[in-house]
Amino acid sequence: MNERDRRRVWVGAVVIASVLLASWHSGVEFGALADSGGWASFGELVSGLLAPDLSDHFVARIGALAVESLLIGVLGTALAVVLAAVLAIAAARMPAITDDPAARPLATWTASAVRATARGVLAFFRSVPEIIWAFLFVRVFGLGPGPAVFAIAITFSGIIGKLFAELIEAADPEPARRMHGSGAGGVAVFVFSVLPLVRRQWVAYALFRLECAIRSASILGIVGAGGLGQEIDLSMRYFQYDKLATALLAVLAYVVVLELASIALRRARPAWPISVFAAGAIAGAAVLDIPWGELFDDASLDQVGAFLTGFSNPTTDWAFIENAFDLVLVTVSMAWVATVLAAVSALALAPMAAITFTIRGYLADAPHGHGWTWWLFLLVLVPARICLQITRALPELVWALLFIVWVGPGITAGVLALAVHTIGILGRLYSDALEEAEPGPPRAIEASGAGPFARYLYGVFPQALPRMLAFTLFRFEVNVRAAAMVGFVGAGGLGDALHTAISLFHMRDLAALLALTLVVVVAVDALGDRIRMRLLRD
Amino acid sequence: MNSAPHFALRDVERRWGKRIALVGIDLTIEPGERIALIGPSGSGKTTLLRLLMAALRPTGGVIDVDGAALAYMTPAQIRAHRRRCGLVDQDSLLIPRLSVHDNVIAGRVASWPWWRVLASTVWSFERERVRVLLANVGLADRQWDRADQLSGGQQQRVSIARALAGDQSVLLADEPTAALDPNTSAEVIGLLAREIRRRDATLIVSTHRVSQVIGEVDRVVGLREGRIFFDRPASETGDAILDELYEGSRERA
Repeated sequence: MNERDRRRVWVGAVVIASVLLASWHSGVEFGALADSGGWASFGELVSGLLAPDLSDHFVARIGALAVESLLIGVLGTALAVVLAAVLAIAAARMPAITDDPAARPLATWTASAVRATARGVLAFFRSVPEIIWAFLFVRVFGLGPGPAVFAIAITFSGIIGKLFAELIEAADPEPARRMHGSGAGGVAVFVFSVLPLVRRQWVAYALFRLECAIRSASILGIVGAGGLGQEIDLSMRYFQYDKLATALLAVLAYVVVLELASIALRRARPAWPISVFAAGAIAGAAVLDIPWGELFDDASLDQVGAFLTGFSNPTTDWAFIENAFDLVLVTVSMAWVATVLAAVSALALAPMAAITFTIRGYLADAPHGHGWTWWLFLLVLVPARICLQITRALPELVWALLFIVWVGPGITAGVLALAVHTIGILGRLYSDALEEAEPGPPRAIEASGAGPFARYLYGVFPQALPRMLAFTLFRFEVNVRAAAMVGFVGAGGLGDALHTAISLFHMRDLAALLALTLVVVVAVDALGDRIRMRLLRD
Repeated sequence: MNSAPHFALRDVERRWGKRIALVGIDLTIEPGERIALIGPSGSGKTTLLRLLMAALRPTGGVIDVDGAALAYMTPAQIRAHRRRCGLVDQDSLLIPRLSVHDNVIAGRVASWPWWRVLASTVWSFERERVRVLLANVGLADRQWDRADQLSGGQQQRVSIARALAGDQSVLLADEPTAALDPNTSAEVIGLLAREIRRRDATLIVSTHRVSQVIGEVDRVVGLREGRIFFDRPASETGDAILDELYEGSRERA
């Protein structure tokens, strides 16, 4: 056995062993998929789903909820951008302004303390999934769209703020240094010689995140925070699968329309998306019933106080912490099993969805070498793409609810939900990476008489592999967060414990759990970053 | 070992839209012949090679392989024909991230069933065979190195090993030395000729470096503006006719 084979066999063995270990540790039982009781309720679910409730008043209600979701997403992102800009300016290191040799030590020290705090806040905001914030706000302000708006504002300010700060630091420092040298103050320097450099990128990124936020807004209702998710939750609760079907179709349509709209807007002049964004935010602020007044009244300030006190004084009950630590490991295990399962399935589906594998090949205008084209298109490419589209369009939480009907609440439902959604995402990314490979090598292999299988395995996969691995790792990081999320609707792991702590207002427990979540997410991200950099280097 | 095919081209034409790449090509190639294809850039050399290996459809005329017209072959028969043809391109087209071994195997997978192709991604089959192929091109000790660690000349030698890895009986070389310096180029041409003689295979090599090739082939076909300009034994191809072929262009070396 040579070195190459040994390495590949080792990597394969380690991945398989880690998945087995993670499955055993988290207690996933895929056998539950074949359970007859589960099949019966799944059958009921499917027959309900096949006959959606299309009565006028219900469709009208669903339409109204879809609009509400859209406005929640837009308004939430608008607030997030404002918050993100403030935090990013506080968190970014601007040597041209701050590293003034003339500055007093106290000023320098204060500046770095502010920076560290702002960074910590950003990391905390983005590490806690929006569904958790949403539920927390529902408990504080009651049901309605308000909590969803606040949840999106908080989580997305963490995500957007991090990149805003990175963009500030990556901007050319020379103009700022010169302006500062001529005696201008910090604010003026920022507004006139930093902001103009990053403005374009800030806008582009905010618009990109807007799409994600709108998508996310469609499901936050599952914990009672308004929008389409509300109807999904209600119809699941009362086993009204015909209504559930309508709501799911609406989510599917919502996501597809959103994708098409964002493609169209990206082609439009840059002023267009910004105007639409601003108009949406204003409409959202006007239409949505948001408890602005309660935001700073005594009752909610008390809650915020309790929350912060919980943090300054997290639970020290050792048994609880030990249990929480175990839940964290379970959550990471869930994410790993789901990601590997999804990666393997996506590996099979992605070529089927790629034109160069199924119908076209790399030799243009060869003597009828692809006689099956039409059938392959119909029987392989189209079903594969539909499959990827549907699994991707429905969010993890919705899949979790569906799998809970099939296999019952617990870890297994959570892992399946994460895996299915990830298949859609990875399958799409893989298939793009495969199509973008250099055509030379596969063309040479095809010209030597090889079939689609050989030309892909030897000509295309080796080229796309580093990018595919990087995507997979990134998805694993996302899934660690998502695994804490699906627990929220009863699919096991850390999410279950978070749900309990919030429901019972056990703020000290909540603080300990959130701190652990933060540590895990940051650790996994840092590890992922290092591996990704190595992967993409060669 | 596949037996070398007999090619017969009758009035073959290839257009790209309105542009004519080849026209009125009548050519017969006997099994085991060694042919140099020469002519200025754009004279249709590459197009002719691609037609011969069924990677391109002619827009007119007939290409017979062993008496059967390519145009009436089934996809499976066309793939079988391609498996007999090895290609050495101007650019070696190796996959940089893979080992030399895997790059040679890439020329072999066409005749493997799919499950063996799949298994070969974790298990290196036919190591001894690949070692011999690499030894023939003087690279036996580089089998497990990454392809991008090799020099240009070495990469081109790997691509010769790849082109012959599946016992191909025809080698189509499309300016195999265009990207190499003159010394390396002579080396690669010598190697190519030796491997062909060893196998009694057919060689069709297109090139600008006429002087390096002419001693290794039986026959020279000159192309100019998509037509056959001359077709004669190598021994009768003198400087006069070459000067006439390359008249007005300075590419000949």
